[in-house]
Order: sequence, then C-alpha cells, then structure tokens
Amino acid sequence: MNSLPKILLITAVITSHLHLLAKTPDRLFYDAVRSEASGDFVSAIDSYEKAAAISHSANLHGNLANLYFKMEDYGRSILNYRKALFLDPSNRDFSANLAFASDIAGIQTDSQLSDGYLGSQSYIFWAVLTPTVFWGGLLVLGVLFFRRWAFDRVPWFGILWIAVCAISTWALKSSRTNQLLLSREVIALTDAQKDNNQSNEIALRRFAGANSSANTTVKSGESLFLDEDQDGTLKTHKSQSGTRWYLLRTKDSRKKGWVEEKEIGWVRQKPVM
Amino acid sequence: MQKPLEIISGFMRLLFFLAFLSACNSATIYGQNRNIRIESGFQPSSITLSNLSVYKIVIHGTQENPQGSIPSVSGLNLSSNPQTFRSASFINGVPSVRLELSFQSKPDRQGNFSIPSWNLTIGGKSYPVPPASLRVLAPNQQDLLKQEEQKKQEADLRQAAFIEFVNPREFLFLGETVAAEIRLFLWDRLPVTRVERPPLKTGDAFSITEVDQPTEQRNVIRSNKTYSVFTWTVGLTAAMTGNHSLSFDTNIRVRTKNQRGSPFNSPFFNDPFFGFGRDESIKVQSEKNWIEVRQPPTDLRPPHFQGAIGSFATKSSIDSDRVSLGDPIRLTFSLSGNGNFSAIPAPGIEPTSDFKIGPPAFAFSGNERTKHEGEQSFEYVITPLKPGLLEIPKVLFAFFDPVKQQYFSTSTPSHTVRVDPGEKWIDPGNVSQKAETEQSPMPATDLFQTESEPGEWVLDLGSSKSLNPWLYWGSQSVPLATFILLMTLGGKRRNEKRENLKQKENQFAKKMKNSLVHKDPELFFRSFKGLVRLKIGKLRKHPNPSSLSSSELLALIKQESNSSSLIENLEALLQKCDDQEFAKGDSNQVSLQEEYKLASLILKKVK
Repeated sequence: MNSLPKILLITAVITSHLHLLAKTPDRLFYDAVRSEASGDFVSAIDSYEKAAAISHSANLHGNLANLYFKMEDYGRSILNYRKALFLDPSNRDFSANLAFASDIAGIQTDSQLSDGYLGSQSYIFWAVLTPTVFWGGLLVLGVLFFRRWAFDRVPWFGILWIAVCAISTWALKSSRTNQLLLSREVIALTDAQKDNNQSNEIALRRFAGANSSANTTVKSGESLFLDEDQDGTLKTHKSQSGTRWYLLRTKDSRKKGWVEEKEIGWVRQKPVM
Repeated sequence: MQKPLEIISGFMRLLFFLAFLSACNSATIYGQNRNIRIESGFQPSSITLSNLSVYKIVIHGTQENPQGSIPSVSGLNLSSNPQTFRSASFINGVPSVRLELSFQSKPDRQGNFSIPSWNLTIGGKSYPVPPASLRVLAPNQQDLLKQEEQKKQEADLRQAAFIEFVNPREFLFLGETVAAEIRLFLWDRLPVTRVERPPLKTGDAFSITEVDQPTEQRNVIRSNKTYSVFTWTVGLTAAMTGNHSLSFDTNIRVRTKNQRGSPFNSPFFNDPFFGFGRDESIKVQSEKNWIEVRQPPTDLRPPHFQGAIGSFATKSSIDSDRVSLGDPIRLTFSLSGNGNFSAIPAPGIEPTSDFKIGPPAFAFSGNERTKHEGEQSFEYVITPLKPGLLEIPKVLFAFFDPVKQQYFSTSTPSHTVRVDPGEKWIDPGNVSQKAETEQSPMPATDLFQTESEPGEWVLDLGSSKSLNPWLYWGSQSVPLATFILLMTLGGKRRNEKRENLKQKENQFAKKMKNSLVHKDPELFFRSFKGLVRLKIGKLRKHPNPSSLSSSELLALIKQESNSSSLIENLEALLQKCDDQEFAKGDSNQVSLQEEYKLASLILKKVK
C-alpha cells in the first residue's frame, strides 16, 4: 500500500511529459523546413510525408510538391500541388507551379479536371445561385398574381427567368459532375525507389495482375479516374497476395486498365473499402 | 702520243685567238670613247597612206641605252617598242660602234609630218636628235585595190562568222535582270579549229553573269548559208539609266592559206602540216545593240522595296511550331519566279522584342547561269527570348513587276510558335541590358518557394465544401411557403371580386322581380340596366361596368354576333330605361310583365 503514492507520482510525471515525445504535424513541418534549408531534401520529404499522414495543410503539400519537383519526381510533385490547390484553390503560386511542373513532365493540362467556372470548387456557388434565381423569379410571379397583374404583360420577364434558370441548372449539374469526378481522381505515380534508368510511364494492365501485359501506358503525374459500377461502387480487385488493384481510365476514356494501389496517389481522401 | 710540233701549233692558235679578242675589245672601248653622234630619219621618207614607214635613230660612238621621249605628232602613230640593233666594226682600220633604234610609224592621214629636234640622254649627257620628216602621199591604185580587197574580206568574214545578241525585252528597268543569249554563227565552210575565248562584253551600262560553256547547234540555215551556232545564255542586268550600247566580241582560230613572198611565212616553219596551211586568230564582233534603260517609277513605291524586279511568288515556313526557350527556329522565306535574284537583298523582318533574329542564309536553286529563273530562299535563324505562345514577326517583301509596271507588296502569313520554358537562355550580348529591363511576370526562379508556416490544418481531404442538405432543402421551404401564400391570397382576392359581381347581379334580379310586385317601373328599368351593365361588363371584361352608358352598351353588343332583333329589343328597352330615368315617362302605359319577359330573354341570350 505504501508504494501506491509512488506509482501515482511516476504515472503523473510520465503523462505530463508524453506530449513532448509525440510528433505533432507542426513540429514535423518545422523539422522539414529546417532540413530543406540545410539541403537535406530526403529528410525534408520524409518529415513532410509524416506530417501529411497525420494532417493536411495547403502549405505542407505545396512545400512537399516543390521538393518532389526538385528531386525530379514530377508525378508526386503534381499530386501534392493538386492537394494544395484543393485546400487553397485561390493560391496563384500553386497554380503556376502546377502548370510549370505539368509542362516539364510533358503532361497535357486538359487531361486534368478544369477548375474554372464549372469546376468542382464552383459547385456551392451554383448550388446557391440556382434556387435563388428559381425562387426569386417564382416569388415575383406570385406577387404579380397577388396584385392581380395580368401575366401577358410580363412575357420577357418569364422568358429571361426560364433561360437563367436553365443555364444555372446546367452549370450546377456540370460542377456537381466535376465534384464527383474529383472524388474519383488519382494521379499516376512511378515507384519512388526507381533508379534513373527506369521508365517514367505506368502500365495500364489488361487484368488485375502483375504479370498482365499492358493495354497502354500513362506518364507519371497524369490524371486518372476510377471506374464505377452501376450502383456507384468503385471497380477494385484484391489479389491473393493482398494487393489491391483499381480499374482506371483517363478523362477522355481513351486509355484504361488496371493499376496497382502503389502506382497511384489520391487527390482526395482515399475511400474506405 | 702527240708530236711536239703539233702542240706548238695549237698553242700558237690559242695565242692568236686571244690576241683577236683583245683587239675587238680594244676597238669597242676605243669606239665608245670617241665623240657621240646621232642621226635620225624615216625610211622610206615618202609613203602612201596605206603603207608603213620606220623612224630610225642611229647613235654613233656608243652602245649604251639612251633615255628620252619622242615628241608626239598628231596623225602619226609610232610604236612604243622599238627594234634595237648594235654593231661594232673597223672602218679603214678605225674601230667604230653604233646603236640603231627603229620605231614603226603609221600615219592616219595624208600630208607632211615632221618630228622636231629633241634630246637623248646617254651616260648622263644630253645629245640632240636632228629633226626628221615624213611625206605621206594619197593612196595609189594599188592601195585602193588592197583596201577594197580588205573590205571585201572583212565583209566576207562578217558573213562567215558573226555574233548575234538576243535581248528579250525592248527596254529594261534599272536593276532588272533578263536572260539574254549571245550567239556565235560560224559558217560551215569556214575552217574554224576552235573558239579561243568566250565573248567579251563592251558596254559599261550593263553587267552580265559569268559566260560559261556554250551550247552548240549545227545546220542552222541563215541567208542560204549553213552555220554552226554556239549559244551562251547570260543574265543581263541594267546598271545605268539612259540609252546605252552593248556589243560582244570573241576570237576564233581559223586555218588559212600561206602568203607567198615572205621567208617567215614558210610552211616549213609555221605549219605543223608542212605547207598545207596554218592557224590564224580572227576577231569576231557583234553589231552595237542600243538598249534603253529606264528608272523604275517612284510613285506608289512601297517603303520596304529593296530593288527586287521581276515576277515573284512568295511562301514561308518554319521548321518547328514548338520549341524550348533558347532553341532556334528556322524561318524560311522563299521567292520563286523570274527576276534579279542575284541583286535581291534579304527582306526585312518586323522588329520584335520576343525574338532574336540572326542574319539569313541565302540559297538559290534554279538556273545557275543566269540566276534569273528559279527559287531564292532566305533562312532566318530566330531565337525566342521568352516562353509562351508567340507570333513570329512577318517578313516584308516588295517587288516591281516590269511587265505590269507596278509594285507588289507581300508579307508572310503569321506563324505561331509555342515556346516552352526549358532552360533559361541568356543572350550574352544583352546581359547588362537585360538586367536593366523589367523582370518577366513569373520567372522560373520565383517558382517553388518554400512556405515557412504550415497554415490551417485539416484532418482529411475528403471533406469537400458542401452544403448541409437539411439546411439547404429546409431553406427552400421558405420561398415555397411564401409562394403558396401569395397564390392562395391572390386566388382568394380574385374569388372575392367574382362573388361581389354575382351578389350584385342577384340583387338587381331580385329588385327587378320586386318591381313587378310593387309595379314600380323606375326600379324595374334601373335594375334591368344594372343587370345589363354587369352582364356585358363581365362578358367584355370591362374594368368598371357601372360606368357604361346605353350607347356604349349597344356598341359592345354589336361587336359580337348577336341577332338584330335582340339588338333592337335591347335598344328599345334601354331607350325606355333612359326615358324613365331622365324624362320620367308615363309609368301607367308600361306593361311591366311583358317587359320583364323580354328583359329576361335578352339577358339570357345576350353574348
């Protein structure tokens, strides 16, 4: 019984200093910045990746993308710029860097999802605008009815209202489609451990197996989209060795095939399967 | 073994020969030390115009070369290379030396020619040369015959061998180049062994391209004679404005018969075939061709005209439409057609700050002899100075068409090239200048800057910004409810109006019935008119039916297809209404029962 206070005291001391041993994302981030400043890019990338495994920030992925670009791993560089832009869509530095990296990697930017007025980021805008226009016009008509105004006096208003509603609905649908596509978008990646003699291209195989021949190839950094079943579930396959395979295709659907899980990077959060 | 006598004889001969040489030398030295005397004269001193004479100067007492210049006499041509003759002799045992200089003389005209006394310098001393005179007589009969024969020979030669120059244009413009032909006609009977040299041009107002190997054409008939024709095609370019002559000459080698009476014309010495003939060079000349050279018009001359004259078609191309920054692009501008290709400078390119443009390389393919017809290409090496989608500047070219006599101006179509950033290229010549110029909007060094702060953390990337569905759809209910409310209230308001109208109609109908009971015609007609107003106002959607007068009601009734009897009956009843209302008509005379039936019928049928 006499040892109980001692045990409690030791437990309290260990608990109070436990947070010092844990690596928070902030500390990992600052460690990475220091490593990068000292020229140790490998350690910097390692620290950034550890931080990204815990939490995400636009600057974290931007810095990570910069480092991958300097290490000439353009696929991972593009992937992290996309993540950074997802978190901070208005950052012009990320946009410029992504365009530059894509250009250097020889990737057509039209293979990526556009982030313009109909992009996934515009979905909320259209989702608010469309009902506003619809209900606004309908309420104006209701007021006119209430005020006993004849409808034949306002035909142009009706036509304009219908046209704006139609355009807004189309934009809403397009941005929603892009948002759904973004959730299924991945970036093709080469093996991080590859040497300089290995190709920068990733094989899209005919079936889910390492010994399958390739349908075609895509460049590292190119955008791919997971195929869905009719019920909306992703087309995947788990081999006997435990490797998960995904059926993917390019944006224009001209290239498709199976790739291993390690050959892709998720722009968004990987769905739970 | 030789005998001693023979040895002495040989020795004596040697001594005698040495003594002779010594005597000769002494005579020369003695003669040269004597007084110098000079003689001069023409030999012969009298000739006819077609003959030659020799102006001879004899210098006695020395063999040294004299120095001096013969005075010029107009009309008398003396050769510049005299024949010299030196001699040494013993005259009456006195040694003598002399030097003879012979100048060939050819008079231009008839008359007396005198060379006045002049001085010669010999050994630093000046000695006078006596005057000499030549008499030139009129040509005699033999000379005339000789001249005629010579003219005849020349005329025959002109027919046997002549040069013809063919110019395709009546006149030329300054700087214009045309393909002309020089044709050498050689009569088949003329024993020509070879053409010694290509034709030479006489005429400074024109330039021609190099005269190369001719093309030969045989059996060409001209003036009933058969010729072999050698043709040289040249590019002729006019270099001076005005009316200028142009002629050509060449030399041909002909086998001729030997002239008799001259030991130097011996066939044994001159003829490789030992007396059957010899080669002689004959000069062949063309007639003088007068060609007018005009100045191209200055009116409407394009500012970038650089002297190209001819008829051209232009085209341009680039070797690549996508390059990295600093990689050169080859812009090829080609001219094809006819014209002065050799005189066309490289066309200019619009100035631009996007590209560095180097001097072009020239390449000509076509008629290399005349350089008049073919394709001239200018290959510019241009280097992009910044990345992006750049438009290559235009090549400006203007030319003067001598046939249409007007200027044409062309420029290349626009070529767009995509310049990838690539390795940054710095022009070494513009390093200092570039440092001063403003930086590009996003230089490569400004990319990939490290952020020192992590920014806002998010736990996962799956939470895309989306609207709360409950809030979103719930908020839709507010305008929906408002709309339903408006529609309901609006509909209710519209029903209230209809009800009011119906109530009024019922009231009027009730009053009309009551008027029958009370026999009140005034109430009857007022009720009837009110009913008619409501009925017609409702049918015609009149905003204020109670304001309608009888005439207005009738006018509205007549707009629809109501029967004429109905209209007449309504008009009569409305008249009675008005009479009752305004004139207070006699109510006893009115049968309200009949009027009621009629009014009911009208109200039922009216539309």
